[in-house]
Amino acid sequence: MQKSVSKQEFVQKVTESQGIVHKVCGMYCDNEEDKKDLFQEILIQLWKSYPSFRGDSKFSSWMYRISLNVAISNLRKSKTKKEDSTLPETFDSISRESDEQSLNLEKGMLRNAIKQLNEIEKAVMVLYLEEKPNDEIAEIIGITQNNVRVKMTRIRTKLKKILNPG
Amino acid sequence: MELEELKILWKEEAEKEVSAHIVNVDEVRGVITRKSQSVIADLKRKLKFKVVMTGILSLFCFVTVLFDLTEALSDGLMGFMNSSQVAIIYSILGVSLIIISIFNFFNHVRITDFERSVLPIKETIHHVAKIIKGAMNLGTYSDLIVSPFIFGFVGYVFFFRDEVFQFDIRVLYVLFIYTIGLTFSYFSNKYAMKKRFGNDLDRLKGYLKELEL
Repeated sequence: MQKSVSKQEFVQKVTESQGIVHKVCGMYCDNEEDKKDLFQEILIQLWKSYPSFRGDSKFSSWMYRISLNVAISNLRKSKTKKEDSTLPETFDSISRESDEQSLNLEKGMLRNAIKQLNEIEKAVMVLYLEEKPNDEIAEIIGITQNNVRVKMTRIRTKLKKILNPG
Repeated sequence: MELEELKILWKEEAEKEVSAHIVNVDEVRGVITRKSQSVIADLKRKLKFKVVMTGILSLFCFVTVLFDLTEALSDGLMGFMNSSQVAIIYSILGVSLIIISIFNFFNHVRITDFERSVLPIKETIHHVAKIIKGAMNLGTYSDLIVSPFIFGFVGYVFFFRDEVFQFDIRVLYVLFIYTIGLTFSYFSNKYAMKKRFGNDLDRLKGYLKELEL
């Protein structure tokens, strides 16, 4: 009975906050199939870890932590991750629509920028873009705030080069 | 384009990303009942299978020895071994298998505990790398107990097929075959484990290095 109540509560909470998972999937996956697989893996892992959620941290921080953990280190069976191979499809399809409207330049730059970041930089970046404060980013990643600042400076320099070539 | 502009652009794109993939309560409920396809979940399933299989096999070995069923087995070996030799071999096999089973069981427990925990990304990567390294070691060394033993047994059957066992030069030959079996098993297991997990482990080590910088 208690388990079914907690399952119901979990499903409700996760459904409400699923945006976090989709954003992480969008950041890390190249195509719709990978995105679907990663979404499934994250949800399974969230459910497995739910008993350990005691409300010490915000539910969103807890979700980001698990989602990013799965995206980075929960390697998939029999599928080798093709890093930097193709472009994220949603951004790609959005870009295609934009192509038709001749508004794809900035979105193309965003796509290109994301593509050139490594897995750790992507994690820092998604948390930064979601306006998480430095201390929360440090806590989720497991590094010092100073290290977060150093990483952000490096990412900023890298992105400047990508976004403002020449 | 500056980072602040990128942030605005990300918000627009992220909203589209979310609304394009939104799922309802029933779909979430369905997804969480599915089987995980991750390397760790797969490892866990294999460990569980090994715990059960090695447990059953070791039980079979102990039952054979304890209930003195070795006579029938030695008959089946067409005189290559007498019943006390069969009993010794089955005892060694039983103990070896139970050790493998215990190791696999503790590894299974460790992975289950890890799956339920919520650690920061750096610590998680470190743990996953440790689990994979452990699986590689277990895969390499656990088989070293059984495979060379089979090589040694084949050598024994070959050199002592018509005679009772005695300490002479043939024992050295059997030991030599055993050593060849041991070396071959070690390198082939190591190669297989590296092929299976090597890339994943290298990638995780790379992430850890990146986080140290």
